[in-house]
Formats: sequence, C-alpha cells, structure tokens
Amino acid sequence: MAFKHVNKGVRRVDAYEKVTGKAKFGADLEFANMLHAKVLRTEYPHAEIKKIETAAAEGMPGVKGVFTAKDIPNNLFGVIVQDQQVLADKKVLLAGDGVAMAVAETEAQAAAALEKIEVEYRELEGIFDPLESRKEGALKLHPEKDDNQVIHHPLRKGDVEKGFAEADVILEREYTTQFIEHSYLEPEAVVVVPNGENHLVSVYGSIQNPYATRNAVSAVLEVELAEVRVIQNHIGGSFGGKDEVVSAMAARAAVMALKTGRPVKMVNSREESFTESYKRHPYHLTYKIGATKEGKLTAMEIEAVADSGGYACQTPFVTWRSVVQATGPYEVENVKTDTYGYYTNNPYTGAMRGYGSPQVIFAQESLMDELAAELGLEPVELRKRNMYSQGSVTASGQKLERHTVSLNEVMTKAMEAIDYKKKYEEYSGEQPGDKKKGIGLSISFRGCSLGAEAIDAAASVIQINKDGSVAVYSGLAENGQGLKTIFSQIAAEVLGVPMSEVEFKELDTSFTPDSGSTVASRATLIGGNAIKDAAEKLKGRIMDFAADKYDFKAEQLELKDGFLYDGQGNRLATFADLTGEMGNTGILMSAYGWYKSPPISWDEEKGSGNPYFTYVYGCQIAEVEVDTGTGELNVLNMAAAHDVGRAINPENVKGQIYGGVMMGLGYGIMEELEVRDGVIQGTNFHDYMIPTIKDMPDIKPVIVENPDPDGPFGAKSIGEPTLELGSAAIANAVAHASGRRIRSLPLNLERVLIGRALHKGGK
Amino acid sequence: MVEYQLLRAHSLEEVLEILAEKKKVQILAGGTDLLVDLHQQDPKFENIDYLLDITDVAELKGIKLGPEEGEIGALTTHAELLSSPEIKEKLPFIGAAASSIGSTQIRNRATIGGNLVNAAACADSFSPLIALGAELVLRNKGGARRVLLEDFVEWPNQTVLKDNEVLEKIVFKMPQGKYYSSYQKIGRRNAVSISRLSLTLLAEVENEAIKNIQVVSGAATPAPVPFREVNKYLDAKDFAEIDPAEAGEIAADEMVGITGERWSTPYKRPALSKLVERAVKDLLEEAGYNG
Amino acid sequence: MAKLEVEITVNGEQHKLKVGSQERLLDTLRDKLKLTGTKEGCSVGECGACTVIVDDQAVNSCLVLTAQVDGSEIITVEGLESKSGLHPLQKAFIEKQAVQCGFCTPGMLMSALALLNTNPTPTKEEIKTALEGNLCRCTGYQQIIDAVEMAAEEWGV
Repeated sequence: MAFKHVNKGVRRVDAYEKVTGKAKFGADLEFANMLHAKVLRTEYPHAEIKKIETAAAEGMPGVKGVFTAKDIPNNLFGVIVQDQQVLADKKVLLAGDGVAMAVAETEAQAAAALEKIEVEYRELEGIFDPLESRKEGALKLHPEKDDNQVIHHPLRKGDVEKGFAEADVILEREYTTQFIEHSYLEPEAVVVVPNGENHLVSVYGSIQNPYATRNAVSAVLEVELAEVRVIQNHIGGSFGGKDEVVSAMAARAAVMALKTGRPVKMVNSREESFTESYKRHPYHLTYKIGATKEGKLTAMEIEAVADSGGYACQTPFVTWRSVVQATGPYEVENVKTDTYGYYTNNPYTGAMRGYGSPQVIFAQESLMDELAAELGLEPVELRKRNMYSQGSVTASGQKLERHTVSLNEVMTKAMEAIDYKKKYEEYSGEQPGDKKKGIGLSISFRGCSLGAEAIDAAASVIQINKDGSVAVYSGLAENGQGLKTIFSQIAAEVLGVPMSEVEFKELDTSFTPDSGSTVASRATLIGGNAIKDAAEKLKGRIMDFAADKYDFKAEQLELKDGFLYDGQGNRLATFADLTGEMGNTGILMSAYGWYKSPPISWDEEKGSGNPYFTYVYGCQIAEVEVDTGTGELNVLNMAAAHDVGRAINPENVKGQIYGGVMMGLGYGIMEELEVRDGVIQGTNFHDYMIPTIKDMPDIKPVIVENPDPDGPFGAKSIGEPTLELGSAAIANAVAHASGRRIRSLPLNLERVLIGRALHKGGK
Repeated sequence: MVEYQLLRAHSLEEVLEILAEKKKVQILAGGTDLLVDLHQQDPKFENIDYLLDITDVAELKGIKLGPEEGEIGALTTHAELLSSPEIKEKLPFIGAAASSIGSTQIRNRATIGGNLVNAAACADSFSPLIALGAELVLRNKGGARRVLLEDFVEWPNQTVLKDNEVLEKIVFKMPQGKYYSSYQKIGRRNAVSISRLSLTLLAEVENEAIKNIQVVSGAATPAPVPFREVNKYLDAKDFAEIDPAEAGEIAADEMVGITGERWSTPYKRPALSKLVERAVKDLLEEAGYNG
Repeated sequence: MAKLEVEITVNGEQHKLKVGSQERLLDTLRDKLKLTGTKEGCSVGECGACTVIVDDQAVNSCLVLTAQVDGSEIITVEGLESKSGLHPLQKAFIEKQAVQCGFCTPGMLMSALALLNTNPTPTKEEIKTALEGNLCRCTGYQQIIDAVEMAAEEWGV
C-alpha cells in the first residue's frame, strides 16, 4: 500500500512554536489579576499533625489566604484508590506531603508566608522498606486498611513443583531496582482561573492527562465534571509523571482560586518537584528458574515486591503489568508469579514510562544470561530455544496468534545492526589490560495499551471548515511524543489533503469526549484508530456526495493532495470546493470518531486470560567498556530493534528509540534517587544525575514493521518498549566484559568496581 | 529571607577600598556557585550584607606565562584557560582540569579564583596548581601576601583568606626542561560531573630518572594535598626501580591515613591506587622506558 | 531595597531597566521583558534550559545577576527568527526532528548558536562539548546533533 502521509518522516506540526520560543508552557501563562501560591511541605516521613497555626502567615504582606486540609471540600483523591491527601490532614505519610498553602500577590510573598506557618508534629515510627511493611504485626500506615498491602496479583500456570522436578539446573537469584525520578525538564506548573467562560474553574498547565486531572479537581471541589474545564498546554515532558502530582496541584490551586475569586498560579521549583512528585517503583525481585540441560525452561517461580510509598497511586496497575510480563517472552509450562505492592513512608510511586516492566525485565533478562552461563549455552541460543513464536502460549494462557510474533526477527535484526556475533566471540576471549569490552542483549514482549486495567476507548472530533481546512481534536494529549503530528498524518492520509490543511487543536476537556489517559503507549493505537474513524466517516460522506454529483461510483473516486480524482487521473474538484459545497447544502461536515479495543479478559484469582489484545516485541543490545581498575563504565554502542506494527512517522519512531534508550541507559548505569529513612537525599540535578549528551552511545535504531490487524494502518506502540530493555542488556554486557554479575541497579562506579553500593553515612 | 546590597567594583583599588571599609562583604565573581547558594537561600547569607561584584575588574584577569614564572589572574574563566594556546602548549594538565569542570555555560562564567576560594573538597582546580607549587597572591588595602596553595585550604569551604582580602592571582614557577604531566578524573558520568576522584602527576625527568615529582589528589582528602609518601617513593628514582603498582598502594595508604576509614573508602582506596599506578605507568611509557 | 540601573541590549533592542540586587538575568528576561522562550528548569545551572547568549558566550541565565551583565548584548531564542525567516538552526531542528517536548529546545538552540558563531565547522565531539550543559530527557540527543551538523553545513554555504 502506497501512503501519502503515513509512514513518512514528516515534520512535527508543533515544531515551529517550539523552536521560536512562542510555545507557551504552564509557567509562561499570565492572567489578569493573577495570584501566586506556594505549598508548605513536611520534612517528616511519618508524623501526626497536632496543630497548624496560620494566623501570622495570614497577616504577611500581600497574602490573600492560607489554607489547610480543613479548607478542602473533599481531601482524598486518586485514579485507582482514593487515598491520597490534597493536603495532609491528621497525619503526614511521606516527607513531602503538603500540609498548608499560601496564596499572595507575588510568589515571593507566598513563599515568605510559608515561613510563618507553624506546624506542631508528633513524630511517628516509620517504615521504609516494603519487606518490613509486609511483615505480620507491622505498624499499619493506613489504619482504615487491614494491613499495609496495596495489592497482590497472583498468576498460576501448571505445577511449578513438577516443573522444578524435571529440571537439571535450578537457579535462584535476587535482584533489586531503585527509585527513579522522571526528570522531565519542565517542573510542574498550573494556573486555575475561576468563574470564566461558564465554568466554575478552568485549569491550564503541564498536565499529562487532562481527564484524570478533571476527575480529581471535580472530586476535590465536589462539583460536577462539566463545571471543570481542563486545557492542556505545551508540556515539557512527562513520561508518566505529570498525573497525580499535577492533579493535586490543580486541586489546590482550584480551591484557592475559588476562595479568592482570582486566577491562581503555582509553579514548582526543581527542588519542590523532586520532593513531592511520585517516582518509579523500586522492586525487590526473587526468581527461581528451572531448565533441562538442553536449555528448555521447565518452571519459573517469581516474587516481585514493589515499594508503593505513602499512597497507592498507580501501584495496583503497575504491578499488574509486572505479573503479566514477569516470565519474559518465554514459553514456560509451569509458572507461579506473585507481585505485590506495599505502603511505606517513602516517596510515593506511580506511573513512569515502562510501568512495571523495566524492573522485571532487568531481573528476568539478567537471569537468562546467568542461566545460559550455567548451562554452557550462548545467551542467544538459550533465548532461541524458549522464546515466543507464532502461536505460543503465554504464562497467563494467551495464545499469540492475532498479530505477528516477531521476536526472532527483532533479535536477528538487532544482532546484525551491531555486528553481535563477531563482537561476542571477540570479547569472550582474553582481553589484556584493565579495560574490558563486552556485549549483552535483552528481549521483551509488551502488551499494548491498558489491557485489563480499564475500559480502553478513545474519541476524536474532526471538523472540515468551509474553505476545506481540517480541524482535528483528540481526547488524548500531546506529551512531547509527537501525537499531534501522528494524528494529523492519519487524518491527512484518510482525507487526501496536504498536511498543511490539517490543524491540530489543543486538548480541551469541554470539547472532546473523555478518552482516558495518554498512557500505556496507547495513543497511536487507540487514539489513532479514533482519528481514523472520524476521518473515514467524513470521507464516506464526501464520496457519497461526489458520486451523486459527478455520477460516478463512490469506489471509483479518490481523494488525493486536496483534490477529488475520477480514478483515471482526472481532477474533478478541489477538496475545498467540494466540501464547501457540501457544507452549503446542509451536510454535517464534522464527525466524532470512536474506537474501543477488541475484547480482553483477566481472571484476577488465577492470573489467567488474554490481558492485552496485541503485543510488541523488542530487542536491545549493548556494547560496553568496563574499566576494571576504576569501575568506570562506558556504553559504546547500542542497537535497538522494535516492531512497531507500522511506523506512522519513522523519524518520530527513531526519536522515541533514541530517547528511550538513553532513559534506559540512565536507569541502568547512573540514576538513583537516594532515599534515607524516607527523606530524599538531594533534590536537584547535581545530586540526581541523568545522562548528558556525552553519555550517549552510538545508537542504531531498527524499525521492524509487521502491521497489526487492529492498529491504524497497522501501527502499534513504541514509547515505552524503548526504555525497558537497556538496563538488562547493559548488565549482561558488563558481566560479559568483566565477569562481574551485578544484580542491583544502577551499575554505578562502586558496584562495577567492588560489587556493592556505598552510601554516605553508611558503613 | 536573604537581603543584601549589591555593589559593583570596576578596579582593584575600588575592591580593596570597599573591603577595607565595609564588613560582611561577599565577593561575587563568576557567580556559578554563589547563585546556587542564593537559590537555595543558604544560611551563609545571614552573614552577608554586601555582595561585591568584581566581574569587571580587568586587573584580575589574564594569563601570563614567562620562561621562569607564570601567573593566572583570579578572574580567569575556565573557558579562557581551556582555549589559551599558551596553556595548551606549556601547561596542558591545567587545561585538562579546566575542561573537566562543569559545562560550557559554567566554564564561560566560572573563574579559577572562585573555584579556589570556595574550596570545595572536590574542586578540580587545586590538584594541578598544587602540583606546580603555586602560590596565591592575597591582597588587601595595605598590601599583598603570598600563601602556598596547599596551605590555603583549612577545611572544605574554609580558607585562610581574610575578610578584607581578595585573591588577586595565582603565581607559580614554570616546569623546566623535559617534564611529564597527566590529569585524570573519575566522575559519575561523562560530563558536568563532580569528581569522585582526580589526580595530577607532574614530574621532571633526567637520564631515565625522575627528578622532581608531584602527585596530588582531588576529592580524595578533605583538602587537596600532595601525596608526600608517594613523592618520596618516586623522587630521584631511576625508572628501573619504580613499581607503579607499589606507588598506587602507597598513595592509597596515605589517603586512608589522612581520612581514616570512611564510607567511601572501599571504593576510593582501589580506585586511587589505580589512578596513581596509571599515571606513573604512563610517565614511564611516555619517557620511552620499557622496563 | 535600592534598585540598580542597568542597560542591556536584548535581541538588538536596548533596554534601560531598574533591577533588584537578587534579580537574575532569567527573571529579567521572563518577568520584565516577557521573553518566556527562555525556560527555568533547575535554577542551579545543571539543566541548561535557561541558556542565553551574553556577549557571544552561552551562559546559564539562572546563574547571572542582571546587574552583572550591565552593558552586555544578549540573545535569546526569540532573537533567532528574523524578517527573512527562520534561522538555519531552527530550520535544522525542525527538519531533523530534534524537538520533542520542546522545553530544552530554546537552551539547546542558544548553546548551538554560540558554538557555530565561533566555530562554523564543528566536529561531532565539539558539538557534544558545546551541548553538554543542556539536558534533554526526550530525544536522547542524537537528532539534536544531526540538526546542529545540518545547520553548520547549510549555514556555511
């Protein structure tokens, strides 16, 4: 199929604004008569609030109000479990919980007011390790609950005891992963305008999921959804991170906007962002794997314990993805997996690109290399003997047959791209000197979209104006990933108009139907189908009208480049004239698009069913140089092969791969949010290091296309798969180079040199 | 709440006048550290009534390298050091240290004097200058005094600079004859990274023997110091008598002798030992000695 | 508190301003001159989102007091586009898909401009050094390097 706009690396539709500085982000917004607000956050990870004294703060210059939990109509919110406090009421559960807020004429005045608020606490014993939190008799952090367990997802398949009995080799290993900061470059910012344009409140800002924020604000204010309008602005990165934390911010600002009757702006400093935002879950993973001496897996027993921090947030769903994918893309007859989340008094944890997969992949793909070594097999060989192929059955009993299972293809292509075989052999031999090279790989399967988490559907609206210009609205949001461009390409493709005729409009919850959240790498797949649906509806109307008008059969006609053709290459009309005429004849030139995912199933008791309707496959390979004298680790080259179904925009897909690989590299070798007794050690980018341009290896992106029957033009997902594979590939390469197997992330100087991490103040 | 009065000086004389007249004056040079403190509302501002911006004072800028002696003005930025052809040719290890500091934006503003006066334990400007035996010219209205750089820092962030003094320039004797130098740094990433460890080695060589040696660490000890035991081991020694690994061990012992066993020692001991070993090995190799 | 008088030229336009003793160049640009293209990402000189050009050099505008740049010539992202259209760097950033969320983009452009102004034919390593103080969490940097290389080529002609 020849495409005009789809499958082409067309320019981003939002690039012009962004390269000229015209793009307005949350902190750039100004409204007349606007106030500024700041939040007082606790330093205690667990404490009872005895008293909050605000009178002195209220009397400070410029201050228009100081508020606490008692001023919040409904203080609890949450996407899954409503246990998160807008402002801490009786207890603080984590260091960083907001306890009071001040609104003033200037930001400095609001900040000065915070210093005058007196809070009396009674410090409580805290729990900072989920393995402690799960113990019987542990202090209950949410007294209304039975215990500290947020969630438990079991999965049972076959009989693991039988499986281990059949094994010639059994390995048991433990792996741990760390807290990760999203590190979006733009700190959170919102502005709430009260009583404007027939809404009680209008919320602007760096909002990843406008509908989730609307839900939260309306729940907190105890008003109807229709009274809350959320308009998304340009957002400076999110990666799953600007959801609950921004919802809390929006709810606070909304309360203050209504109390003062004036627009209220809140902008976090980087330190405030680090302190209050949720993190990627640290996991404690225990794997037991059995295999025959021929390298056939017989059983896997897995336990993954996630630290949920003070609130449930997205833990129930994050750990659910883990339970589905914990075995990795391998056929195993006997599986017993349990994933858990527990409350602690650590920073709370939520969605971050990858969402429960990077942790299990690090463990399970490290384990495969360990097992290969134990069996005397090459890592690739062990994988080939067990990995999914067409028709394989997953741990949850799903038969993979509706889409192309392309693991072998992605692995082969990644290996070719980096010259794996030659390097593997070369580096397997003796290497003189302290600097040793190694190469390692990892593979994955990943369920696309929400799966059995929630109803998976999205909407769009397309409107053709009388001059033929096309306005596109979606219920899903641009997060920087390129959604506006991808959706514009799909609309232009179906309608046969040039990209320049398509205008993508900012998401406004008042104009587009609730489409759920822009998460789970679902936008292209689910939202793209919704755009296609609306465009096809309009195209149908246009073709019917044209067939009638020109006396052709609709099938003979073609819309291309902004013209109507007769199928013989003759132009019959311009798109603008034709659609203008339709409008003047009274034909509705707008259409809603809707797409609901194919059916899925999940039995929560047994952990069985068809959790996702389609999957993507990926392979990443890392080539490293380890300085065995100093622990310095250089990632020299990486190859990343990903099956995306169809690349709507290949250049954009490459951008996702480069970015995801680098985020995965940071996860693998340098990033770690150090939390000591619940308190984050270092809340800015000089303490928390993310990769710079100098840390970038040579990255070879390989786009593999096996169109999916359910994807728009065959397209599936790319955002998240790109970051989930790197850490395991790097750990495997380090083991290959140095012989040192590191089972905890990140692979920092100390772990690489002496095999363990060192912490300031530690022994 | 931080409050201060900002003053701007346009000549060294003006700087010295202000320092003589006023109390609680904090000098502002490149500002890349002080503005971080300001953002963080550092308690140090409680003792600052005046911020004295000296960025315009021309007398404090410039690099002069003569045949015998050299000097670097305190306000010389790291970018200027790094782009100076003279430095590159005559004192490459100074350029190497400068290039490892911060980012391009930081190096464009941050000054060598600021790096020294702030005296962070991990400051990268110290070890190459200590290796040179550099002295600091500290000036007040009454005149100037010279302090050996290795005696300048009393404790991290604490120097012997007096309230009424400004660091004017760094002076040193130029290495003579055939000499070897190296600068190594270990950080947590490849750019904009604070030193976990750094090391300068500077040695004059004559007839297959080391004549003058200076091995100086950064970030290994609270204040950067020359490793006297290593220097003693290497000094005036024939190449054939030198065991680089042993030199490394001596340095590591010396470091632990100064710091005691700290949380970071299990890493820093083997890593420092390796840096010293490598520096010595490279020296021998460069000098054409093949053991 | 006493305000200080400064005169700065921003994107070719002269401004006489009264600034506070703690006012950073970033504050002056964003709050006084409403040039919000320059972004605040960390306030401590680690991320480079606030990079502007001061007298031909890339500088973190969060680490400079406005009073310190009295008399200077400043270029911000808003100064790149001219009547004759987009600057070659802007065109290259669009062409090479070097933009994702766009928050680091203004700073990246300024660092790249400072580089090309002094070194029109940079090596890849020189490009990396010029941009090492600009963090980007979206792009993985590759397409940004591609863009700077493209701009250098186009500009050179």
